[in-house]
Amino acid sequence: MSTGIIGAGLSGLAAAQYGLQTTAHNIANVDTPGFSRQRAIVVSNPALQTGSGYVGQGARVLTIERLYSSFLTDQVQRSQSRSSELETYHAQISQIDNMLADTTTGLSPSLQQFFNGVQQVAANPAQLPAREAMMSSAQGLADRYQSLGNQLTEIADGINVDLRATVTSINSFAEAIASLNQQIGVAQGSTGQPANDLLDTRDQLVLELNQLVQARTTPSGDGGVNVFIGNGQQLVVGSLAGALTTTPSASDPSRLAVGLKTPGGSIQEMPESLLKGGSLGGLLAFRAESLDRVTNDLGRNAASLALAFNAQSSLGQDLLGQSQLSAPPSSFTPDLFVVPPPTVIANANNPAGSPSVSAAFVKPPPFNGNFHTDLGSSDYRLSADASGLTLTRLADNRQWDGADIGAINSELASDPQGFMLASSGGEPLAGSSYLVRPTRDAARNLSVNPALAANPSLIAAAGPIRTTSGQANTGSATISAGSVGPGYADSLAALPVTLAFQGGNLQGFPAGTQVSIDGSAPVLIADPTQGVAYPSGANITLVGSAPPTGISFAINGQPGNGDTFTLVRNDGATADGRNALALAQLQTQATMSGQTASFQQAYAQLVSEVGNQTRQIEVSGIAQQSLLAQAQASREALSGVNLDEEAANLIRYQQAYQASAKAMEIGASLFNTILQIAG
Amino acid sequence: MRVSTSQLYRSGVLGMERNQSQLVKLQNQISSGRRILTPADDPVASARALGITQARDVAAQYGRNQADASDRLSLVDSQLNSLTDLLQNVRSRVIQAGNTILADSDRQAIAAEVEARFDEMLGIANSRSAEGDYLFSGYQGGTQPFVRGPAQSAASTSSVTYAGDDGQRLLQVSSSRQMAINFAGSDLFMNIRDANSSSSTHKSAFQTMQEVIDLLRRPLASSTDRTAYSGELQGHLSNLDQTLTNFSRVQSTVGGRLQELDALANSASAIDIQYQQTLSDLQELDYAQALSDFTRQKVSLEAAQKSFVAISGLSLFSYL
Repeated sequence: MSTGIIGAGLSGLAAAQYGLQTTAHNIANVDTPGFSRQRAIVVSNPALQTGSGYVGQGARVLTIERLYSSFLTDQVQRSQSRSSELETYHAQISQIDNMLADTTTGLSPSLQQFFNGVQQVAANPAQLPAREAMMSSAQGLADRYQSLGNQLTEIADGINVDLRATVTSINSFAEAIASLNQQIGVAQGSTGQPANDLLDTRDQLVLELNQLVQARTTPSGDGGVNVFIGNGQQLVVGSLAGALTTTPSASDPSRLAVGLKTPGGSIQEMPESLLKGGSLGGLLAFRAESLDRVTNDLGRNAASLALAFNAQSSLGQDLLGQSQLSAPPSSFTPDLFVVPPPTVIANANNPAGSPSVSAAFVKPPPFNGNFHTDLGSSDYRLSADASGLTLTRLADNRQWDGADIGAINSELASDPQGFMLASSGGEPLAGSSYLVRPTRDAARNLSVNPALAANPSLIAAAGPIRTTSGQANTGSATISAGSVGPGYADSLAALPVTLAFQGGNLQGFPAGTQVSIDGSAPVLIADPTQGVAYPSGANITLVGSAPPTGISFAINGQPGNGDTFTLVRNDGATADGRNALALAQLQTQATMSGQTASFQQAYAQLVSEVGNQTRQIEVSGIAQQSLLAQAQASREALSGVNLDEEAANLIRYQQAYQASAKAMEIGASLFNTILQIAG
Repeated sequence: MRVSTSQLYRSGVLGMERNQSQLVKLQNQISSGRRILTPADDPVASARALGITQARDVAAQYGRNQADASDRLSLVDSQLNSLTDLLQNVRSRVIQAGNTILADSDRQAIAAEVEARFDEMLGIANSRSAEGDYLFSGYQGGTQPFVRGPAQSAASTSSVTYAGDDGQRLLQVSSSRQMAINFAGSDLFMNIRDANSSSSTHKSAFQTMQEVIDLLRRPLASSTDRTAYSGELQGHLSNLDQTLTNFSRVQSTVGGRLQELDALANSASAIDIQYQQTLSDLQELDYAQALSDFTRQKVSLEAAQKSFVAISGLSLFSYL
């Protein structure tokens, strides 16, 4: 009897010891990340059958179990992955947001100072100090574009570095998980008991992997898990770990893409759209959705400014009296800004012998007396297959098809995108593709024409022509100052041209000139005596090589017979600032975005877009963080260690231990009683 | 719900962190005085502020152009005043010379005086701006507009030709207005209708003066001479009046432009105040609101801290 008591007491002692041990383990791991509290599962021993019924034989510990829910753990992992993605995205886009934040250091003040400089030249065209000031403000503006462009490039470079580090970490997590899979398999296989702490460690590793990239797990046999990323690409299978790697993107070698190393050792570039979640997903999404767009948009701003400004500048005359009309050799310098042509990158996997493709900006067409560009902020892809070429605008997948580059260009002529393509060495081969980036590098490479910076006299502030009425005129008619448009230099053999009013007609247009009244179809002048009906007040244009523009003027009022009106080159016109005025007006005109926005408005739009995006990411991030906190709280509610609870358990197990010991003591004293009787 | 110990700490810390980040943001706003710290704080207002800043800066540039235009037109105006005085003086001398009692020597003396006026007028016509540009040469600021040529005949002394052009120097004084700030010498001195010609031909102010001088120098021997002299003098007087009319026409145009500039400057300062107001509404901080928010947030943080300390002090282990 007493041996039964001692045996049962002993089993109670052991059970209480396991309980105390488990409690101490829980207390020790109160702050261990990913730890699930454990408890000893105690069951009663099989009873001893006697004639008096079944006599209990004490208790034993069946197993140590962890309080764990795979659903709650999955939920934490998923929330963590999305939360890390948004956090990374937010950290990156905040850099741009901060860069554009200050109204005093952004692009606006430089833009304003530059146009103030232009106005100063318009007011004082003969003054070299005014011209010097304009050139230095132009330099300031170019510096500003460059500095903003460089900051964006630095962010892009930083992403390359981060990608490399992230991919290295992902690989080491994959290896650690694979190794734990093996250890768990061995541990559980040998005892049939759950390897609680190893399982917790693996769950924690999967969670930390999810901070880097979204990873899904499915159980494999013998306690292991398989880990998948992206669209089902296997990262860990049982005890084997795959490896990601970074590789220069085939479409753009300047940036790193993520690739999967296949068992054969080759590297397969993974589509960015598949890599979601975690800081890797955040980096890639930021680069594709925000950074590229902002860089292109800033470049579009810079390129539009340079192109529009240069186009207007080419219609002027410098302080030395040089213009497009000057006979060579002339140092007339129409371009105030220098902007690099669009970048075209041939895909690294293009078939051998592919020609090189280039692109050039389209000269801005005139618009209400000034200029605008049709540049957008998207990149384009030119791809060739057996049926011909396709140009795709990547932002919205708008496509232009054509048999060859000429056909694509003629489509671009009717649906202008601000650039044209060219190929040297034949048409692109089937299977090749080219990435066209019209404005990606424009901002950081914008510069001021060094010829003008060295000699501001070359700024084309004056108009190239002027008009006079004959001193002996008897009528009251006056001639307007005259203006010129693109191609004007080709409209006439030589100035001066003197027009005479005779019997209701204007005569004296040089033979071969095309004359257009108020934009109507031009009339070819066969002979200087050919009369053009006098149109009082109408705009008379001697059409140049880019119809409908040329040299334009208007004559108002009633001329007397024999009255003359002369167009002459604007020699010696040092005090004329007409072209500088036209340049200054570019500031407030709708020169961008399909003639809807000025430079400043387009920039403000960019700032507002970045602001909106940052805000949206921030708000989503906060929401995701609270989802994560909830998921963590749910998991903690089940699996977390509560010290008060453990303190209570300590007391409980201590008392159980003491009680079992007492039972053994009584068992022993019973035995002694019998011995004494026997003695 | 069951709460784990680490959860207890985590949620306490999270609450304090949230309060602190709000406090830091408010503190930044208060110390900078700006409601919008980055465009993300209010993207729409940020974009509008950029637009309005440019509009304001452009208006300020127009304001400088207006002042510039006003200075230059005032200079033209004072030159026109001198020219008018000068011509009035010549006119009274010519009337004086109409008195046939005067001896040839008297007329010679008047001629000498008119000659001096002639030089003075030529000087004004060739005057320069503070920047060194000729005022009345059209576009050709560096070209002397009026050049005295050699005598064409024994009877006349010399002639003045115009080397400038009809160009108007323009300044952008408002978004829709380009104002000419000069008058071409051709308009002011040359293209003056000849009062003594039936066809509408022109006679320059210089030629009129030259003819007066030539006439005054002509000796009068007979009564026929005197009659012819009186007639011619009358004709010159009409041309002098024609010139004066032309000067005052130009002067009233200048006056009109100066008035327009005044009006523009007045409305510009009103608009600038409007822009400032809008910018301040968009960007600047409402301090009363911000300080009250700050106090509220501070109380909230203190409460979070106190409750955290209280909760973290509770442990069953303390009683074991």
